Amino acid sequence: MWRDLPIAWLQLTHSKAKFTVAVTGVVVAVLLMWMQLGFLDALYRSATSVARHLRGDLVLLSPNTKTFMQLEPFAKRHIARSLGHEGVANVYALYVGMAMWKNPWNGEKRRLFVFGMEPDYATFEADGLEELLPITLAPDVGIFDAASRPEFGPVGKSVRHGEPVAAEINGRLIRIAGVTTIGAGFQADGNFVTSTANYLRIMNDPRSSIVQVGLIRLKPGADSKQVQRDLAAMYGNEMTVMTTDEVVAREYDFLTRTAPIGFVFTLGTIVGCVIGFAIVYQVLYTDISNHLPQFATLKAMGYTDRYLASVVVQEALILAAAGFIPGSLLGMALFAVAKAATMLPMYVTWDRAIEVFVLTFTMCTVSGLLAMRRLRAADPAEIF
Amino acid sequence: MTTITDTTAKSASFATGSEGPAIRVRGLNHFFGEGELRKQILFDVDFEIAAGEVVILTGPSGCGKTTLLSLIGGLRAIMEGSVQVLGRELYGATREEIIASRRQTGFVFQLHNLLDFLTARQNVEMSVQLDAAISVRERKHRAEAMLAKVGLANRLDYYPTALSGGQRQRVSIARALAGEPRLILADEPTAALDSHSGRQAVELVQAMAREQGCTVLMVTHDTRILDIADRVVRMEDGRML
Repeated sequence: MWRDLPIAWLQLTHSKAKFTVAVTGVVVAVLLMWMQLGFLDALYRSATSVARHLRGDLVLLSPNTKTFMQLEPFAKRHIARSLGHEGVANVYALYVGMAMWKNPWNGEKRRLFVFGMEPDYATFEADGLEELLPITLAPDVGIFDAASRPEFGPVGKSVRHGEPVAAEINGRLIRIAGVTTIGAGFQADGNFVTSTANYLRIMNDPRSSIVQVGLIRLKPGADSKQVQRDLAAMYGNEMTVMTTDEVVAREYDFLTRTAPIGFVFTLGTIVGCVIGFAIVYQVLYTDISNHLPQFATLKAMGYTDRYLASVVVQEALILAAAGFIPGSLLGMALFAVAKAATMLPMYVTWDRAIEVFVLTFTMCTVSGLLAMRRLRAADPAEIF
Repeated sequence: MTTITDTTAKSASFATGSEGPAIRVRGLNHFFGEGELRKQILFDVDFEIAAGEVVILTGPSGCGKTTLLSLIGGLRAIMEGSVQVLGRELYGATREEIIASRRQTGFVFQLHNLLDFLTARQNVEMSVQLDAAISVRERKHRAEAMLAKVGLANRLDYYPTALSGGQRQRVSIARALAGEPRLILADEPTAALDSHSGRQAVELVQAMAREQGCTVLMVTHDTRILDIADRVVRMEDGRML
């Protein structure tokens, strides 16, 4: 096989113009896939940035909570009930709410997430959060997420330069004592972390008894699945008990399937595939149609149907490869642009590359297999 | 063992390489169309060509010569009767046997049917390549030698579109012969050519066939080339005369 004349390649590249058009089509499809999957992944990353980094083994949520983007409140006393289980080491409450931030530089208002937690334990992992958290013992002090959108003002830069920054959150003047990195999302553009006491002040809600997330840390050696089952039995339908992995999985599921925005990006990926498919199919179909007597001649000479079919598939794979590389390079360049413009976590990962690669090759192979049906029209009996 | 009617016997083994006839056709009937429109094209055709013979099959258009040629070439399925090519029975032959038979046959067409995206040399290589035992170097060498024989040594890397009609036909002759076939089937090889190039083309087929000791069956109604044949066979209305 490898010693054979590479007729798939020779046929595709015989007309440089036609080849360029075909490859451009695949490049566009690949680029679309990169962007759509990139946005989908960024959406996932940003929306799950807290859920993915929760510092606990089990998570307690209201049964009404379907996603971290919309946390439903529940009574704080439920969390403490877990302490009765012998496998539980400690429990923590995480308050999550949305508040209005006023940009101290230009006075523009914007919504952001506010997280409240006890200053002695950071309930999720973020850059330097654990070290900074004790600062929030002081009243009206908090930590700002430097990965928030630039519309919130150059908070991160100023704080790092040692300049004092204070901003109104829900009309209350708060001193920003440090910065961490969580990341902007589609739901809210920024994040702010402080103590439970400060959180309740900002939210202007003295009821510390209403909380959004409960976090359970297990004793070393405790079987998390077993404890989860026990607690779930204890709470019945009053609380949802999940492992942190389950929380992340459910979040992903919600975003890709239930949330319209996830669906939009999935649809975009499919559109990319369809465009690529249509172009490759068209190119191969036309090529076969234009060469029917020649292909029939090859059959008369003793070439098998399988040989001709393999030529068509090879052509499809060549187009896939030729489109994948430039398409991916362009995709990466656009990622950098999109990342700078939106602050969304757009990353080029091997997973993403493999995903696009598989989609591209599947798309091209399917076009090839369908175009191959045209070969049946190459009848050697018709060439005499 | 003296029977001559046992045409469907599995005689492939003894005839290969022996002095038996290269082509033996017995009681061949062929039809086109279905039902009411079914029309018989060939009527009880019987004929033989000895190994090494150059035979021209002639007759008016539509008399069934081309159909007969395509049946012998294994390009159409045989409906009734027996066709033995180089000792291999094609009636009821498997796909593999048909392909094996095609590989021993060189085809020269009225239209050259060269692959337009391959150079002259690559087109010829396509037929050499069918023999998996031939190395890439040998394949190129053989294609070049074959093109040199048909007088195209200086056109090796030309694409068909850059060649004249006569040159293209010569490339296709080189292609047909490069696979060292034992049988050449040619259908109106001169039809698309002027008389000079036409003459040149068939003389080339004849000379090269002689050199390789292969059998030639050529369909034509070009009376000017009948003299190159050892024997001329006529057909009319689907019957051998």
